[in-house]
Amino acid sequence: MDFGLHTALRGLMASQKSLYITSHNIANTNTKGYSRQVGAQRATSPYGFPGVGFVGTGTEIYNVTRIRDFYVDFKYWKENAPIGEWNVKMDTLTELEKLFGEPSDSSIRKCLDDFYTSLDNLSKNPSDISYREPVREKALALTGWINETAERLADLRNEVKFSIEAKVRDINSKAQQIADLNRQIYINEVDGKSANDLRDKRDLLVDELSRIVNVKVDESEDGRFTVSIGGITLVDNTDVSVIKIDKASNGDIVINWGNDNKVKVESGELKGLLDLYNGDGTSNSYRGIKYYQNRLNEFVIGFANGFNSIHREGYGLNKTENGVDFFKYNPDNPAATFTLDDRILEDLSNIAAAGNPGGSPEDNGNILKLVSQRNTGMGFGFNGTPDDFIKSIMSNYSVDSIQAKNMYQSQDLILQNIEYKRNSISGVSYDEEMANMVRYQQTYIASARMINTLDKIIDITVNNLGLVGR
Amino acid sequence: MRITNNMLINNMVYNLNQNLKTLERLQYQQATGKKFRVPSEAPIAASKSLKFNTDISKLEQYRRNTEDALSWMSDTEAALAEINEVLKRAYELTVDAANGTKDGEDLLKIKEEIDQLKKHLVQMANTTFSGRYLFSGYSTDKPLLSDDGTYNIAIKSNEVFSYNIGNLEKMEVNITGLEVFGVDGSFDAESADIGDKPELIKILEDLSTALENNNTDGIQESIGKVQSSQGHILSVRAKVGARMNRLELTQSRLDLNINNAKELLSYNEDVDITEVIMNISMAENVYVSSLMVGAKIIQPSLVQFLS
Repeated sequence: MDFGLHTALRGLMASQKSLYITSHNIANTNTKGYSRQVGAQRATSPYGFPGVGFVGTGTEIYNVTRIRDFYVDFKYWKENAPIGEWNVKMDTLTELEKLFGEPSDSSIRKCLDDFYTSLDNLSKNPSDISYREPVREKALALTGWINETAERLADLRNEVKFSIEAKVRDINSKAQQIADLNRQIYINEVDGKSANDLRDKRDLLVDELSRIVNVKVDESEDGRFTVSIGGITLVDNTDVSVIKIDKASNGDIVINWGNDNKVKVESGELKGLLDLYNGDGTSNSYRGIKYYQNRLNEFVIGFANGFNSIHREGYGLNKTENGVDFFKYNPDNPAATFTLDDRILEDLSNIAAAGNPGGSPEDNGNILKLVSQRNTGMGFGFNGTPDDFIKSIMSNYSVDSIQAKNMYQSQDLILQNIEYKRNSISGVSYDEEMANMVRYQQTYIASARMINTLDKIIDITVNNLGLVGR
Repeated sequence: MRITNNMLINNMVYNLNQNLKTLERLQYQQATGKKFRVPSEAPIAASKSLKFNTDISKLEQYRRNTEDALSWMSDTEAALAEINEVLKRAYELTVDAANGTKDGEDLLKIKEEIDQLKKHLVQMANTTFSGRYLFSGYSTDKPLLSDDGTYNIAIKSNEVFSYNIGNLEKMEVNITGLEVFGVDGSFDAESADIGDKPELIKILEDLSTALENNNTDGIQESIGKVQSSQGHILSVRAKVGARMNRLELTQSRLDLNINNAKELLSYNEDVDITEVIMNISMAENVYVSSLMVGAKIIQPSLVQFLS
């Protein structure tokens, strides 16, 4: 008799456990990184009755496993890194574009137009101070724009540096967390049971890590979990090799292992940030912020020298000697220090409008030369006119920005597809869980009914049989 | 394939987001009337915009330059016209004086008037245009002639300044006093020094002396000189007139160019509002219908139907 009761009880308990699992799944539907779990159920060992055969002894839930496809994870981690890389490039380049301010009235194009308009105006009344004043003011607006842009580029580059530092810290901290989880999982899984929720947590950490840097994950048969960057292990089961930031001799940032070997950063946010910080566009490197800083410096040097070379030939108002520069800059940091020559700042009559010694009031020969220099582009240190130069900078950053946007978008679609697949495999479906719930509930009720029936049988046997002796 | 609830929700959110992005871009276009806000949205159009803006700025400057040149020239022209009047009157008087019917007293009266005409000529030589001496070459801060009719400044025939009226096109604006008044019996001299006597003044002074001395030969000689100098002034006026003509032509050409450039700029970076509004209402429809469908799909599950 006991025998049947136990079988029913096992059914009851198995249904109950299945309900718990269902409940856990529903509760974690929105948990990030969660993969649905299923109970592994089997019939318990039968009991052999001599002459009867094997009679079943019921059922048991012997393990709870998570539904997960390692291949999909592997693809996810592989494709997650490029999206991180292009995402930071896209964001930073968009910022850079806005910083240059085209198309708007706060752009270098506008400053240059205004400056040359004021010069052309001066050609019509070279002796009038009220015509000279705007030339100085507009020139200061131009140099001011360049100073400010140089400063904002430097700020932007600094921000990128902070991001790199944060990302490196993040990598180290995530590596440590993974190592800790490895230990816990190892302890939990000693008896061969899968530590589902801890594994989900670990995979989530790798998800996050794979966006920052290109990682490769490997889990050996005996459960050793390693994460490596460019072939060197970052996490080897419970051990972590941290990475650090070093400065190269040319001011570039390099990421090194503890033993000063370079970390092979091939993609991920970290790669994007490093490209933006270090890339100067030479020898096939990425056109990062440094590149645009260099271009701006190049513009300042070329423009200032070209303009000065003609300005020096001319004569200021009533001046018999020439050779006065209009612009000046510090060669160590041209764009940030670009300004007007002190002599121009102090005395407007030093603007060399005249082409002949003596600087007669109506002599505008040199101004005309300065104005037409903008059209011919002669004498500037770069090829072509200043306008061409500005246009080429603009086309550089706009093309790079488009590339980043396009790469991000196509990579986003790829990743979305993988995520879709992952969700299809590991995600929780309400319909499914509800159907299961009803199923387990019914099994539970049926098992309970079984106990009820057996109880009645026992009742008859115990209470109603053999009343004769009473 | 298993479809889970989160897949549905993620999909819906992604698609709604895409729809919103389109709407946001269109809304920006409608609000600003511009096709793009950063160059990367339209690199070629952005670089064209750069050029058109600069072109317009230059063309408008050239347009202003032609106007300023024109007003300088019309003042020059007016002064030259008056100089011509002076010479015409001098010619009439000289012819009158030379007809042999005048006695010494009459001639002295004529001399008085010639002297007045000379003074007027000096005044005309020092005509100003907003405080600048029209005929003083580069030294527009100083009068050309001093009161006694000699050159007040050293002047060269090449002290001619130009204004920009095109990218590589310049227009000479002023006429030097040297060209108008001449020196040393010629109107083609290359330079004159302080104290030199301008030819026009000298002609009138000679005439004045001849009249005073009742020198008939001198008066006769002056008739020819006054006449030829009148011819000279006419040719200078013709030169100024031709320049003004050219400027006016340039001006109407610049107007046309400015209009063209503005049109191109607008075509390049301005949106067609009708089109944008149409696109907005289409995008709106898509957005609203995806909201509707989304709301229908993500809501129900078996949960709602179990009791």
